[in-house]
Amino acid sequence: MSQNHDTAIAEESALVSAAQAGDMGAFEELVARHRDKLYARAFSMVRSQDEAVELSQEAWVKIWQRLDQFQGGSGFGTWATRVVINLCLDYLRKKKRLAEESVEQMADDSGGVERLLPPEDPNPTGRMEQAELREKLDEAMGQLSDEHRAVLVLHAYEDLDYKSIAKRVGCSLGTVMSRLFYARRRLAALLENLNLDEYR
Amino acid sequence: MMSMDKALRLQAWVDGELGASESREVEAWVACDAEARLVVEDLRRLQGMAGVGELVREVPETREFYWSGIVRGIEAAERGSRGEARGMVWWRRWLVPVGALAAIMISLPLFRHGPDPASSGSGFIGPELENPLAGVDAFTFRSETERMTVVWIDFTTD
Repeated sequence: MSQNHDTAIAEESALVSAAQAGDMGAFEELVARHRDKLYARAFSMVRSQDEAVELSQEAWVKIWQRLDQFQGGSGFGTWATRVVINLCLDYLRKKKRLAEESVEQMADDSGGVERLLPPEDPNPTGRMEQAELREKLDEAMGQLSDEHRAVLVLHAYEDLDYKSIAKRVGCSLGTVMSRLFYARRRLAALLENLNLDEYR
Repeated sequence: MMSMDKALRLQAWVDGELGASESREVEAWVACDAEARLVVEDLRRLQGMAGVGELVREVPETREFYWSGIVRGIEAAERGSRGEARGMVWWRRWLVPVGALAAIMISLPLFRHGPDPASSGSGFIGPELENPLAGVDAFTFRSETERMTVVWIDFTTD
C-alpha cells in the first residue's frame, strides 16, 4: 500500500517535471488525474455546473502557465486546488463584492445565540451513512450565500486557519469568524432533522 | 441567551484558534457554564460533520472535450501574450519619432532670442528665440499680465 503510494508520488513527480519541460502529454495526464477534484472544489464554491467547468478549465490554463512556480513543497493536487480556489474567489468577488460586509449577515449576527442544533436524537436507527450525510451536507451548502459558503469551504475542506481565510477572501478576521459562525448556524438549521451524533 | 461575541470566542476555541492562556480561560468558563457547554457541543458536532468531506463530483464532460477546452485556453493565452508583445513593439516603434517631434515643439521657444518688437510697451518680458529649423519661423510671447504664453509657428516663410 505504502509502496504503491510512493510509486504514485514518484510517477506524478515525473509527470510534473515533464510538463514543466513543455511536455503537453504529461500535462494532459496530470489534468486527467486531478480534473474531478478541481471541478468538485470549484462546484463547492460557485454551485453552478457550467461555471465550475469553466473555472476549472481556466485554472488548468493558469497552472500550465505557472508550472515553473511549482516547487513541490506541497502535492501537485493541493497546489492546483489552490489555483482554482483563487479563481473562484475572484469570480465570487466580481459577482457580489465578496469582501464587503453583508447587511443581511450583520442584521442576523446582532442578536444573541442559542443552541445551534436540536438535542441529540438517542435513536441509533436514525443515524445516517457517511455518503448520505455528505449528500445532505452538500445540499445544505448549496443554500448558503456565496460569502458564507466560501469561508466554510476554505475552513472545512482546505483546512485553512482564520488568518489565512481572511487573507484569501480579503476581509477582516472578525468577518471570517462571524461568517463562519453564521454559516454553521445556517447549516445546523438546514440539517435540523439529521442525527449527527455519529460524526462527533 | 449568549451574546455573539461570546459565541465567536467559543467557536475560535473549538477551532483551535486561541493561544494557550486564552484557551485555558475558555476551558474554565465552559466547565462552569451549561449554556456555553451546549454551544460548544453543537459546534463540535458541526465540525465533525464537515469532516465527512466534500461530495465526490465528476466533470460532466468527456476527457477529450474537457481537455480540448484547456488546450484552446492555453493557445488563446499564448496568442494574447504574443499580441501583447507585438503591441509593445509597435508602441516602441512610434515612441522615438513622436518623442523627438514633441521635444522639438517644446524646445522651439527656448531657442528664440531677443526682444519682440511687437511686444514693446506691453507686459511682455520673454525673449524671442531663434528658430533652428530652416523654412520654419516661430515666435513665443509671454504676457505676465495675462498670465499666458503664445507660440506662433509660421511654415510659410522662405
